[in-house]
Amino acid sequence: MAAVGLDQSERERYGRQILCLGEEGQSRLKSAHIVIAGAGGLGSPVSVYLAVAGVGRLTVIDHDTVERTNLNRQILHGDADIGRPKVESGVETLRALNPSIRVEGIRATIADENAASLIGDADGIVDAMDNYPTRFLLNRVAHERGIPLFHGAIRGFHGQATTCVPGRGPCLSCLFPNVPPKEVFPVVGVTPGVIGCIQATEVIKYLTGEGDLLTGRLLLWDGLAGSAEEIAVEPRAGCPVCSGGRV
Amino acid sequence: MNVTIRFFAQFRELFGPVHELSVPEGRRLTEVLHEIAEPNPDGKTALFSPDGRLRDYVIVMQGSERIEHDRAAALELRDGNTIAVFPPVAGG
Repeated sequence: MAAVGLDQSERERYGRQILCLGEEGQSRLKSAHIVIAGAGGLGSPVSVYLAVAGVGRLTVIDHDTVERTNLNRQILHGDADIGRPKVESGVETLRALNPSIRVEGIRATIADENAASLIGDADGIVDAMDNYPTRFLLNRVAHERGIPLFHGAIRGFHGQATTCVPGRGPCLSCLFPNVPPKEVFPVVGVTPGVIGCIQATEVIKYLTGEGDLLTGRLLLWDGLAGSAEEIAVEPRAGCPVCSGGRV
Repeated sequence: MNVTIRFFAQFRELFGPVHELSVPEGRRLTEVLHEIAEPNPDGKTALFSPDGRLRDYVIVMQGSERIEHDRAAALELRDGNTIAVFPPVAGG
């Protein structure tokens, strides 16, 4: 990921955050390619904030179409998008927000046979999925490629987030060796808003080298209590993906 | 001796956030969890399978260390222990 320069309109567009990240940090965002797996509740805020932050290339992957029941939380899509592929309306929204970046949508179901090629040469994967089998698949690809997986998940007013960086802490399979049965999960739209923004913050921090990542820490958000806590987590000996934290 | 059991995510809605308990020496972790869950049928179902074992997806942590379920059944609590118990959140 070689940093590229900024033009005058970019200096203007990102002026307020260049005050935080510097031109070099902004250039790093511009040079980056991030895959966002899922254009739903989490994928919406993550992709919106990474787009407006100026991440140079975003790939959004989703297989679904927009349904009315999505609209309490999936802010990439509107009423007029019902029935359209989420990647189509999502890409439209993101391009309108920031025409200066490259946004592509891939309508696909992430599976064993296509996961590696869908991720391509990405610098990181945002886990905006709603099920653990696909999350574990992305975790494996991220580990094989040596790139981070920015994990988030939500239910009701509760959410969790962590950042799995190969060789620097536990992977997702270390944290969750077994997963709960799939359910139609309850959700208030603000919860993926909070967690998605945390994931987007992690991406920006990782790409620019700012701050401390949520690596080895699981952040647990309780929206009803208005509190966030964290649990330190270590690589798990015998983890089938990372063998306890090895690259 | 005094121990603290902390619940997160939907377990917090079922059991409340924190149980600070005074228990006899040698009390095992899963015994304590059974005592907390017993008066709460929904909570008991969420935490334990019908055979009384912790459901396989329940995460039990002591500090930064995950307690495997076989070990949780045998783990004798010590004064001052704090245990975190939660299910993975799955939605997106």
